[in-house]
Amino acid sequence: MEKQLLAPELWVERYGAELYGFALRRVHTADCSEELVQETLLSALSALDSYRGEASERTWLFVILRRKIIDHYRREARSPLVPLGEADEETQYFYSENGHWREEQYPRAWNMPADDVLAQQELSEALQLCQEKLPARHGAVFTMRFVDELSAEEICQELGLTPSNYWVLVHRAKLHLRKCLEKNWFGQHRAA
Amino acid sequence: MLNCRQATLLIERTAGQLPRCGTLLPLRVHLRLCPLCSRYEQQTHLLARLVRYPAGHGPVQLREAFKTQLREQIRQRLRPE
Repeated sequence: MEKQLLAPELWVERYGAELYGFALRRVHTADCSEELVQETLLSALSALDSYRGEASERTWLFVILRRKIIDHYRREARSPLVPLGEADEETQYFYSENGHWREEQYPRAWNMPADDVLAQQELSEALQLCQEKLPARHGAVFTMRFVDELSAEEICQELGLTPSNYWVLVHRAKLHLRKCLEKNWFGQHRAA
Repeated sequence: MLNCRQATLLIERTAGQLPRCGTLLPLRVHLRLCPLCSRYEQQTHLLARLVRYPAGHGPVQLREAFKTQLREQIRQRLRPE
């Protein structure tokens, strides 16, 4: 197979927007995404010699970006380190005595916009905003599981979590997210 | 008998997995009896789909100033010492 050549002077034009879009879906803020794109291109530049030309230039850059994003999650997940179980977030949703739903937290019916493209787009935006509001560790776990579809084993390894802590975080992230969406989106659209 | 807190945790743990014989029975029983957790289950799968496939946004663009800055950084690094 012919060895692929690198053309760093064209990276920004060729892949800049795509790399940025990829990062933005995973870290949500524009600043942070720009920083990740910048770090990716600069690391790639200093690793030009290690490029063996087996993968395409584009694939190679995305591998580097993915690595940067995981490092970012790891930093985020580390701070602030609240031991799990101490702040028992689930009691916000369930009675601690018997584990039943609290009345004010009963999951309500959601009206889904079926064919309304604009409403679906708004829903996606609302979801994005709710994801941003998740605490750092919940957000990292959530994105790795549901956006990147990594396995539980991989996520635990990357973030240094035990499997049971991991599931607790997934559960909490889902509880927070569905509540946030119910309040900020389905709540508004129920009356309509 | 599972309570709702345990049932919703189990819903997350078993999502997308093939049910292993016997392990899911208590959850199935709970879901038959509890409309709230059934609703949670449907909505939690819906959420996962929405996150995975967000509704169409156009392709994103880089800020011009950022592009210029990146190009300049790359140019400087490529310049022979």
